[in-house]
Amino acid sequence: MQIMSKRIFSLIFLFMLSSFNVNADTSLEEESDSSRYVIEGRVFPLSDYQTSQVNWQANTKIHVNGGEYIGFVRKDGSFVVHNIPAGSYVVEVLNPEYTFEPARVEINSKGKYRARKVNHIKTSEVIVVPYPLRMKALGRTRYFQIREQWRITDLLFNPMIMMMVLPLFLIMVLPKMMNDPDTKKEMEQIQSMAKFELPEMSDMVSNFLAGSSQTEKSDKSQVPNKKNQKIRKRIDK
Amino acid sequence: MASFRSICIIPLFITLILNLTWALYEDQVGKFDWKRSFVGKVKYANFESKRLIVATEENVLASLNLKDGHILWRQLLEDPKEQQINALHVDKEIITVSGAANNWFVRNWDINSGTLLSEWTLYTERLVPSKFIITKNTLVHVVPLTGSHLEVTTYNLQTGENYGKTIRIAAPWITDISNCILTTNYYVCISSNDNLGQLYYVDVISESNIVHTRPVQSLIGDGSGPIEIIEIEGDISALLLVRSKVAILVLLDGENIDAKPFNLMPNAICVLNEDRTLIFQLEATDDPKKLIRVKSKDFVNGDDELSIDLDYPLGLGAPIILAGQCRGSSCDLLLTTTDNALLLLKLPEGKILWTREEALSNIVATEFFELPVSELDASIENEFKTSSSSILNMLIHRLSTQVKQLTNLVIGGQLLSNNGLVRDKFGLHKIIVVATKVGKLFAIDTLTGSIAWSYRLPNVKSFNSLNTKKMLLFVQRTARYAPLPAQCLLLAEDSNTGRGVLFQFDPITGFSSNGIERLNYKIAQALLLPYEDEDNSKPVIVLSTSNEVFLYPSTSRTLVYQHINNVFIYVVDSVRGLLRGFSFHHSTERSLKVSPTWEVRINPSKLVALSAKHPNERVHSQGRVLPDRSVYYKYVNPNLIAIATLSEDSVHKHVLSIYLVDGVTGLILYSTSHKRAKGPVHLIHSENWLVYSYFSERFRRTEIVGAELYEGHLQSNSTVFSSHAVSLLPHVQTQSYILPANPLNMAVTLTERGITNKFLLISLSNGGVIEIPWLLLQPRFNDVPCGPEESCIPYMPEVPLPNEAVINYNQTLGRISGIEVAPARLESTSHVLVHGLDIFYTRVAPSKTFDVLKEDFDHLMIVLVLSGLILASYVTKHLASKKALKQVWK
Repeated sequence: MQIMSKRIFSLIFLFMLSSFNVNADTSLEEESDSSRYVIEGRVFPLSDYQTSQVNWQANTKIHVNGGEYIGFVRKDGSFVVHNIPAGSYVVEVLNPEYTFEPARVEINSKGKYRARKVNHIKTSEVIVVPYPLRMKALGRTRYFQIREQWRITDLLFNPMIMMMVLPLFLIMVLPKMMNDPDTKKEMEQIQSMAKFELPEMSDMVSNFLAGSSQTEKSDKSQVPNKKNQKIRKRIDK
Repeated sequence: MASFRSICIIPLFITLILNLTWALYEDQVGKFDWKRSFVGKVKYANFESKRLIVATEENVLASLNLKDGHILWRQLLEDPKEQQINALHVDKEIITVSGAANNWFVRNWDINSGTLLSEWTLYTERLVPSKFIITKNTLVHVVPLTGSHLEVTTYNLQTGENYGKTIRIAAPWITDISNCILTTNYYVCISSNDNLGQLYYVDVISESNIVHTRPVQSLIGDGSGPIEIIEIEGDISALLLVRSKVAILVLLDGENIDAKPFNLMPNAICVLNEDRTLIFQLEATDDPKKLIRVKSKDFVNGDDELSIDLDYPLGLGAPIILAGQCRGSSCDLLLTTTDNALLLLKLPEGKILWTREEALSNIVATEFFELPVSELDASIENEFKTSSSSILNMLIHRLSTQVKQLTNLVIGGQLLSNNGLVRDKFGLHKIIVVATKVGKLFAIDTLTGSIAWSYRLPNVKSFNSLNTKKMLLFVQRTARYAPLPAQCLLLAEDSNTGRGVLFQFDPITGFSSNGIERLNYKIAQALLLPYEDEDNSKPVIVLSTSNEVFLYPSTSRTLVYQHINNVFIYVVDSVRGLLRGFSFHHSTERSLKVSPTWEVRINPSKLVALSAKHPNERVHSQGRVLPDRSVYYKYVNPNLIAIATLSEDSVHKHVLSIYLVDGVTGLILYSTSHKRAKGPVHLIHSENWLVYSYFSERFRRTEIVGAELYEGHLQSNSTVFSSHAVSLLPHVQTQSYILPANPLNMAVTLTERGITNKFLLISLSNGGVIEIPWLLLQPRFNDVPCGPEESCIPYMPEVPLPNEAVINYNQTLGRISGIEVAPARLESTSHVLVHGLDIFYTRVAPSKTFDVLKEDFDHLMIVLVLSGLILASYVTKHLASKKALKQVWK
């Protein structure tokens, strides 16, 4: 809390300083050229600026009306754009890594300032922002798409996998959880019923070629026969 | 409520748009794009321990690494067309004075990081070229008024506070400002350029302000020829008096004036070396291998100390010494050349440490070239071409090429390729030929960004067309015709006479058989014909300002005459506000003649932009399918010219008018106007549509308009378009949008067959180049429902500019002056070169790379999974049979 209050105090102090500067500058300007004004403000860095960009001030520029007038950011983050005649201007802060919200500054012929949010659609709408400008970074600019990474969770929460896993869980785990002998027996019965032999490929093809329903019976008798034969062979070996 | 709805809708469309745009992945950075940064032609330079501080004609302040010439930091000041850096002073901090006429910015920079420390402005009422002296704490502004007096004002360097009043020094002897110089604190003039002239000098800093005079003849001696006064680099109160390229050093010290008794070259500089001042100068030598000799002389008596012949690279122009620094016996000299290159010379070794080709900061023409096939591929092709006499020969040839192929496969390199400049499978490897403003040609490899060759054309300048500098590059023959080399033609202007300059060269090697050809007429227009002569080269028609027709190569006259009824040419006269069309109907087989056919007068409006379609553009789909499955045919006229004019109006301030003119008949097909609109106006014209942007003064925002032309439900001619045959005007659909940024340039992507969607590439004032799908700007049909089925996005007034669409991501580009686009052989991809103060190359794929596997396609994974599955099925089969056996035994 103490730190907070300290920071606020220092901010206020800075603003007082900057407002003092305005007066000094305008008086200077009036001496030389009455129709030229300055736009000033301050760029507030994000807290992770210090870690990522060593001298962000040098990489940050102020563009007024898309580069018609330009300003540079000083070490403390403040900026002044000189030699501006009365009019309406869009002030942008440009930094390759961070995005800032632009502001519209209007200077009337008497030298009064008004700053407001830029709204290209409702151009007459006025949302006043404080002047001298306080430009805060909206966030890190994301230029890149994030590449999709293969994650195990993605796979598991895939609906198809879920559909497969759940019945499997029901079939495999639930019977083992049941201890009741009767139900166990029943389950075994069901299991034994469920256990049907997969017909062999060759049989299927031959059946298909035969194409008649009468082979059903012989089919049923054949399959175990074949199996038995095979088994016998193996035993003989 | 409305705002709530919009909140809901916005994310939906952002996701939609994100799918439309093709953003990069972070790991693709630098994979196929590269950036080269430049600073421009160096005007002032200063050594500072391990760094070089340079101020350039591009109004750029930069710090360069002394070891390799890389840019440590760079600050772009105001627009160089209006403002220039006028003084640079490096001490503990850097001080620059930049500006124009009477308005100056005095800026104070940190030397390590380039951060601004302080800034103030200086304003005077005098609109004459003035000079500045920067000392430790003061800035002295000297305004000379010809024939009258000098005005000297002193300011505090840090705060801009004015010290006292302006001092006026009577100086009726200032006759011409070009005869005056400023050296440390003396203002020196010569009254006339002949032997009778007097040398006047005054110390402007001291308060006495006594003007001293001395006859020039007593200093330089007798002789004929005009005398010039020039400054000498180095912190001494001295100047050079030059007569017929021989210079005499004159030292000023209060009342005393001392002319040194030795001769110097006019490009000499003084360098302080441990209390002793040395003079360095460059001389030409007779040795053809070592063209330049560096000499250093003692400052006091002019004795030669050092004389070294340099291994000066041949392609560079004549050098001038900009600055120097000495430490003991070793010295560094910074040289700049007539072709804007910057070199660092190390003495006493006489070695050139690095070279920066600053000419590339001003590109005026660009062309992409396909590379020739490798020798191996060429030999295979030759097999079918050469009708060899015997079967045995053919067999030997076949066997030898196959052996070569095999060895190539085994060793796995491009062993047989010459220097790696060989065509690849997808046409992604190309060579970019650029012409620069100083008249130097460069060929740049698209894969690496390195310079393949360069060629300097002396005394050449660019054409001035609509406030942009331009040269013309024509591809007469591509590298496809194997034994014949590719051929390219450059047209420019002679800087002395203003007449045409023609240079024909091979774009792959830079070799020119004819050299530079100076023409004896001024060029008004040039045209590359689409017909090939027997040498497979396309003829170029050049029209002179006096409407004479010239043909290059002149041997293809009969070919041109066969097609003469299909050739038309137009000329834009932006000064008189005139567009004129010509035909060649009256030419005979002997001589080609133009006859005017149409004229469009745009006076008193000012022509601000003009755009014709790219000659290589192809339109794939002929129409748009409507929901009722009928086809609405596009109006695809390859002869259309789009022009934009601005006119002053008493009520609406400025009025912007857009016209679509048929280049053959002069028929104005469409015109529209916007009130209270001002420039900059950008135009793009492609397929059947037109996009233009302007600044709306009424709403103070940039607006962008898309217009589409349709023939209707019936197509007039499905095979060949003819401008003469059109009977109905096209239907025009338009829609306008807000562009929440400041566009600098616009371009549109170009692909081989035109199947891929089109993207607009717009360079913005913030240094980014953004891609916008044409679909976003395409006018919506009122009676057609808009939805994903019709591949239509509902209308949004503001064009969204997501950060993912910035093709140069965080690599901000300085002062973008143009975007060049060329198709790759891969249909999905086009090459993009963005130039300005930086050069940035990348590839864009508007419809994503649908014709190649993604680069993250994992072949290994697929093989592993498949083999794993096969293995698993065998294992399970075995296990199953085992289990079955067990069951039977039970």
